[in-house]
Amino acid sequence: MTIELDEISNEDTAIESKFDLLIVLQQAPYSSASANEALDLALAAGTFEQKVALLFIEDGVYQLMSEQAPDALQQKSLEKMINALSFYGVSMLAVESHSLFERDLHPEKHIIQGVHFELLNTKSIQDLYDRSKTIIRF
Amino acid sequence: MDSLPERDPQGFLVNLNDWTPSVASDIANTEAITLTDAHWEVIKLLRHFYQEYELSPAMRILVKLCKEKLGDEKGNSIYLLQLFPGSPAKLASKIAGLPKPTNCL
Amino acid sequence: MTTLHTLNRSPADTQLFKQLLSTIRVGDTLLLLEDAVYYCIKNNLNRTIQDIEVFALKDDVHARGIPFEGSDVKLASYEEYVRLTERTDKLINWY
Repeated sequence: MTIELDEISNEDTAIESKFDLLIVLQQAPYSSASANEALDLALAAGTFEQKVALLFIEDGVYQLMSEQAPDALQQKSLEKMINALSFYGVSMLAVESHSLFERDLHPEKHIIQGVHFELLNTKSIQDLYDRSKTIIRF
Repeated sequence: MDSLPERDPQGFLVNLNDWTPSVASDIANTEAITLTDAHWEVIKLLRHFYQEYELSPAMRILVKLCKEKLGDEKGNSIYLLQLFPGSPAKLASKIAGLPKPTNCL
Repeated sequence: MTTLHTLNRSPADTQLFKQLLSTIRVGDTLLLLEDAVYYCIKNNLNRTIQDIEVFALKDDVHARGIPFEGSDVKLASYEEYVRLTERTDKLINWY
């Protein structure tokens, strides 16, 4: 009886912070299709009501630059895809703060406004990995 | 109708800039649909969505979009199937001059 | 003898940049392409390579949303890219 109660309460408290899918984006945009494919997967998983988290890390943080204008490269704007994530039900966007720091990027100055990002340190990233059922790295 | 701009084998516009409301009516005619205000409401919604996100929404997202902007009565697949029979997301995108939706499952 | 160095990798590829630094000489020109245009954000580029003229390809800079005010790097179009290859004796691509 006690054990059953414990199980139920555990599930209840953790339900907000568990993810079906964690997509790790670690490459810069436009020089390869990696970022585009990762965001496509995020939109598709969001469409099917999976609980999705995105983690932007290393050169992947360059995907968050505001004022991207890839018309001359004949590519789709990642900035617009990132803005669409919340409508597609993607619930959590995380950025590793050290990756921003290393690249002289400032959230207020360089990063897309109007989208909420969680700034995470190394410890909270480990925690995010632990809370995610499936992890796919791009 | 001979004036329809270039389209791909599935009937989607090759150049999205070729779209005009009269092109929309012509494409709809080739699909045996006569556009009503109810159709236009969805078409405008789709075009606005595309301007903002550069994405053609697949079915589930189209339903969600209609639900949010037009209310529960119109935000369901039965309503959309009546307007755009068969495959609403694909057909509505085609008429609205958007690319074919990906993840069209 | 002058060389045009083109660099395609992001600042995260420190090994490649080290090799470039050991090779580049005063009077050479550096042209940043693709992910290397992110060097325009790094504050320390001009301190690292003094007396080298640095360009970045305009289309790649704009695509990536890189703010350009106050940078010592010059923007180059594709035509200017060609002119840079003409005015130097040889070319090394760092990829």
